[in-house]
Amino acid sequence: MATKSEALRTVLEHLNTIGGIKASAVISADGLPIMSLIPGEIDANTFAAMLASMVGAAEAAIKAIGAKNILERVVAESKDIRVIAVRAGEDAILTIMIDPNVNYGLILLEAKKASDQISIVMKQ
Amino acid sequence: MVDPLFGIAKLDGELGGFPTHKSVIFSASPAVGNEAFGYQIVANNEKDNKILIFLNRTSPPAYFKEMEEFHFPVSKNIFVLDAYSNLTGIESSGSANVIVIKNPNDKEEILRTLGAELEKGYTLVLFDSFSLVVDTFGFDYAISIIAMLREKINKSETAAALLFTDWGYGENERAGLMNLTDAEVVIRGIEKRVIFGQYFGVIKCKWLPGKSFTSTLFKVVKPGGIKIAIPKILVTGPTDAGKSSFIHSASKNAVSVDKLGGTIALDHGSVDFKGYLADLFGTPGQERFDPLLKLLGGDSIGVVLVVDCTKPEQFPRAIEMLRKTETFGLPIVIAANKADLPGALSIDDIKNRLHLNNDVPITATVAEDLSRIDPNQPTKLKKSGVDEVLSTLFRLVIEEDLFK
Repeated sequence: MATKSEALRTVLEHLNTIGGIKASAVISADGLPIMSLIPGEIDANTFAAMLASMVGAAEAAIKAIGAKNILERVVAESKDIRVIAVRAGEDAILTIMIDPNVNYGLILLEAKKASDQISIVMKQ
Repeated sequence: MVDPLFGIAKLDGELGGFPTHKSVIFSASPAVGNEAFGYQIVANNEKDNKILIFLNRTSPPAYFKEMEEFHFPVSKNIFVLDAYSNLTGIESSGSANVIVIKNPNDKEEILRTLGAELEKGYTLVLFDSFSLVVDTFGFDYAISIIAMLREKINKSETAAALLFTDWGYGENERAGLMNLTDAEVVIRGIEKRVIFGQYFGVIKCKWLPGKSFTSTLFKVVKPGGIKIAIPKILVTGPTDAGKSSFIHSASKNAVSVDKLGGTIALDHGSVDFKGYLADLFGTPGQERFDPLLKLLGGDSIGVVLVVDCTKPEQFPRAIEMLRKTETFGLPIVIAANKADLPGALSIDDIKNRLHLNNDVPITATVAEDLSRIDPNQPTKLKKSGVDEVLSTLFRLVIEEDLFK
């Protein structure tokens, strides 16, 4: 049987084959990297810590202004890069780095599919 | 000669180095590599010891190339008994330091050559890999090799390390083999909630009877080798106590999310210190960021509580932050910062006012240069204080058992 790490890696490997996706990682809601497929020059530990705090802060913010449902995703954009963080179950967050000039809708759809798979793996 | 060491922070501490006349087996599950333990031991001892590597896993050039990737030196003190090359038909390089087994399928030749080599005054012997010996020739032969090895290292100033991959062998056969060695270290993978990684732990050590051991997470990094991994240390404390300064002083690559000198989301830094690799997470200090504290504290395994020695009125807030980050009860060290400023309380005084257990360690930290303090930038703290906080905390953290 595949280990959890292998299962997560498979999900990320599939994501990284989609046009426009540059890197992807699964991090814990507490900011620790769980599995990452990101280029070597980026420090996965720092990336995980920053992204998790972004999601945590966004969650607190949206609750504070009266959101009734849970936070679905956080997007950070600049001209050359876009980062999406999507909840994947209780403990995990899926993060994807993309080129901002590609089909964003398709990538969101794929991200949703992948995050569902990840939340199943994490529960095993 | 100098007594060998493992070169792996916690292992040397627990076993008191790698004594001569002893054999240690590293038994890894197949999903986790054990080769790095071999490289680490060789690299750590090549200066002062004459080392023999029994190599049947790969060729000597490939082995040395791997060592170079870790930036480990390959010196003339390292000798290789090559029981691999002639299996592939590629001729062994035949350098002075490589002893070639002509027919690696001939168990008599291996036993004979190894026996002769072990007479030549090596102070450290490494088998990479011993499970391949078992796979090729069976348990009986492997046991006869260990028996010979024990006899030889008993007579000379030699220590032996055996790398073993646990391919689901029969329980009795495996136990029989392990019993012949003086110490056994298991290396396994862990996938517990969000902690994914690898750990090792001593499960038996005949020269330290009755001692209990704990398991520790580790990472293999290139270059560098085996580092004890401490995934998350929380650095917390009241506003302006010096949390960001501590993190920036302790790590080379710290990143802060701050505005006007105050942290607003978090600080993060990685520390590579005395064979440990730890990630530090710093919280904001101001009350208005309290909703983030629980998130930042989650999954921490140790805490640095930074307090300002000149501001006892902030101490209740400091304790409150331990509760808010849900880290009360974890191993903790207090960094009593700004200890050299006018009006700073004494260490004992701080201890009393914090109402923490008497055995909680507390260390004074001070700025490197008071004249260069910029209120909008993290201040550089003196290395001695920061190092003392880290080493005290790491010691406390690794004493905790991973699986308790």
